[in-house]
Amino acid sequence: MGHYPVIGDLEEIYFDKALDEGIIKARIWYISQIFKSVPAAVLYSVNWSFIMFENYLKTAYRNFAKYKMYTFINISGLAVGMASFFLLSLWVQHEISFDRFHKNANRIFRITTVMKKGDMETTGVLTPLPLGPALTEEYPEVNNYTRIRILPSGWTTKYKNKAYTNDSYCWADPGFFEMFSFKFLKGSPETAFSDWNSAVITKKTAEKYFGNDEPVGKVINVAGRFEFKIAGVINNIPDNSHLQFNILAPFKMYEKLGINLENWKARLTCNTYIQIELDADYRDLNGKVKNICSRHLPEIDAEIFLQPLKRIHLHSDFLWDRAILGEIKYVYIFSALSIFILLIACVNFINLATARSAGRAREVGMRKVMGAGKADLVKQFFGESVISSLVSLILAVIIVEMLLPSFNELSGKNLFIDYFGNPVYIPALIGTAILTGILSGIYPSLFLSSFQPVKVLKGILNIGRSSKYLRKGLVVFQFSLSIILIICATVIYNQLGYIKNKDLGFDKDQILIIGSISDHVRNYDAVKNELLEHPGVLSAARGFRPIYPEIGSSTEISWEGKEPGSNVLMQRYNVSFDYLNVYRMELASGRNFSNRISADTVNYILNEEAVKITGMNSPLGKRFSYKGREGVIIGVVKNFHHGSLHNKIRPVILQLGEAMAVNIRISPDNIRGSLSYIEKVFKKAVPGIPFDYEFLDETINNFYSAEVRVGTIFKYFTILAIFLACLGLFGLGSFTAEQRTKEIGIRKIHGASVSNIIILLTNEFTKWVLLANIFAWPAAYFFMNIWLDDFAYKSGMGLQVFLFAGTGALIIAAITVCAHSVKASRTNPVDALKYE
Amino acid sequence: MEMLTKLEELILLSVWRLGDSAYGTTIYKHIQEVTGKNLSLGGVYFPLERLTKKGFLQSYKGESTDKRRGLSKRYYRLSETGVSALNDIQRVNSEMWEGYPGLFLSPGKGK
Repeated sequence: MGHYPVIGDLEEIYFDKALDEGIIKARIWYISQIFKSVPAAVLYSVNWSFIMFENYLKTAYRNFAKYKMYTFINISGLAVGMASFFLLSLWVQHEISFDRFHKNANRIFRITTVMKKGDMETTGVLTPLPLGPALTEEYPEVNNYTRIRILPSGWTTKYKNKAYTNDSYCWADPGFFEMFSFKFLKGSPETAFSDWNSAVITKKTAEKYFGNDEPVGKVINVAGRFEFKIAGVINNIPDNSHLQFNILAPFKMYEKLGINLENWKARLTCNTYIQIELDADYRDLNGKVKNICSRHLPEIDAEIFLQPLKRIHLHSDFLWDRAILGEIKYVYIFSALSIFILLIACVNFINLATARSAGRAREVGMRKVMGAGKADLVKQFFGESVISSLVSLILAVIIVEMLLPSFNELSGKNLFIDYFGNPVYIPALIGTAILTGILSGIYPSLFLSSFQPVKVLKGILNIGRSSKYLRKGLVVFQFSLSIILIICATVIYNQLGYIKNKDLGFDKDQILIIGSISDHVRNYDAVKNELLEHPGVLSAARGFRPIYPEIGSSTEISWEGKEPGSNVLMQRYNVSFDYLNVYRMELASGRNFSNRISADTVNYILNEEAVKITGMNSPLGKRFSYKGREGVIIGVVKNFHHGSLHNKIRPVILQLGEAMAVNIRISPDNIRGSLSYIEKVFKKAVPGIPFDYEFLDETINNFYSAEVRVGTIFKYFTILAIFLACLGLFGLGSFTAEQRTKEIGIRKIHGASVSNIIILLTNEFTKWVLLANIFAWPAAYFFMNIWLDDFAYKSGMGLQVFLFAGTGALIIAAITVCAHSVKASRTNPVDALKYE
Repeated sequence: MEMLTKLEELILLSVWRLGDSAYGTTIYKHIQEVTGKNLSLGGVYFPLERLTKKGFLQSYKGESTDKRRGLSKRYYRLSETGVSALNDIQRVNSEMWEGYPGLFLSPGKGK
């Protein structure tokens, strides 16, 4: 199209006008023409675009209606895939978002410690009390600090007639409010801790105790001993904060309890957080401060490290960490899972759209004859697939909203799609849908629109051929992903079950542990006798709390027959004589401590691991000494889990010694009755100290609650992924069968039986699934190795897991395809060949 | 039957009426005369090109004159498709317009 005729016409009319009306009017006309043409052109194209758009919509709708089932499979499959992707992304996003709301987040660090003892390193987050102030004084890069101690629950808070024991207390220094961004609704950071007994509470807590009344100035009674005056109210703590509490009190209060905050060797420890200057490099600073503890406490070999605030939630693996923690491992797993599922769904979508487009070759031919340009066809197919995926998007969002409550319960979170709050969301959602639409539209639109109409109409061209490889590849890819998921899900499920049910070496059920109040009990024997008077109390003994890490260990060990120079590290736990009974720990050999044998106060019981490491063949009766205390080995106890359940069992020595916690075995009947009786006894023995207790089996279950959650979520989504893969196979199968009706018809004429044909069709798919296995197995093995590495005790990845997954996939594929094979093989050959 | 805009319809009719002398300028002037509207040249050319692309019109090169600064004219004539499109429009129009009394019509007395 040349534009020159237009200009020629312009000139011509201008010439004539100049002659008729004068040159000025002609010029005015000329210029006005240029201006007028632009809007005219725009309006004209817009008008036509609308008409064309309406036309496309009509065609698309007609297409959809005609192929109802395929459209349904396609759209719902993609919708489900997108919904899964969104749900899992919400989860992942929440985990990564922890602690980012603090303004100074990039400058705040938590102090972590590494203590070396022999060849064992313990990492922790508990630091000496004066560490924070010392760091701030000695290093100009550190401009603020706060000590923190959190007590999650156990203290009773009273106001007038309201009393609750479930408040979470946090002791902190005034620097806390300057460093962290917790917004004050009443009061201010400066006045918050002006007195040693002022407290700051969250909005929820204020409502709990004071309703709508003014909280500031009111006095609450804590643990029956202290009175706190409310000096401020802060906004509720968002759930993506690693620090969770609802009442804040000044750390200085500990001085009133007789603790010297400047004592590096005080029994009380705390978490320390520091804030550094804007331009300071924390790695530099880390090098400088590493040995500060050794300087103040030369007898301890400990180093400190700065842990960035934003890494705390996902990258912490420390003892005694009361922060709300997640694991980076699961973030990776769920990210991968979400992408896998979306990929499977997209591949389905593309596969089906492609397969279907092969059947539309005739329509394409006709359109071209009618004058459709290549661009128009491309636009049409793209339009159809984008519309499909946008519809899927809407469906996906509906699914997500419906499933959110259950998902939140499953994951223990409070997730929601923040449609308007976050400007990224809506464009991101739409973008994902459009991208999928475009990807799935590429093949049919480009491939089909380059057909030559006549050939197509004559049906000569076998469209199926080169698209076959693409489809094969996609199906193999899909099934590989599904098989990987099945394998991983099985392994994870096995491992979690294994750990949960693993024999711990002691009986954890019906055990009540009384913790800190026991520290104050003076006349323990009398208390114990009183406890045993209740029929619900079966046995009681002082001793260490199982699965709590103890720091009693040493290499100062010797035994009869020890080779000089060999150095072993063993952990020592203090027990009382009836401890083993309470926990029903079994002896491999020898006897338990007895309170009638006075020598037992220096004797030892070793666990099997300890015996193994010493190499003694018959340890009973042999002399043994720990840290200089000479005694005799009287028994060997079977290995039991101590410390974290994730760690290996180490060599352990049991000796009679000071351990405060009281471990009580109660009968399963009337647990409440027993509990209240025990509480009464303790309160009488130690008045004024809050009674805190825990059920051991609950503590252990909580230990695994995170893993169990993750496992369950993973399980559901894996089932979903497999379902999607089958859906895709189902859709594909029907098309293939349809396309080959002619072939099947011919075969039948030549005498093939129904079962022959079924076998033929099924065979093809079987090959693909087998191929998928070859890709899937190494990948799954690789991923699972990484995950299992963290566990000291693994249930293992036997070959049977892989075979199970592979066979499972095969069976599922076979069933899906069978349905179509049966239908296809039943076609009447006459019908199939009708079009010839 | 494909729905054409009113302007496109007018363009086709002009091309028919102008016969061998149907090109940009004459079509433009003709439509202006009859409708009385002050169109823009571009506003006529876009539909003209589209009609050609869709096959209702055929175009062929013409001579150039000095007036046109040496640029050649582009003539248009109706194709078969164009003719049948006009026939369709005429059929619809005559049915729709059948019996319209014009000056004697009063509102509300539709028939």
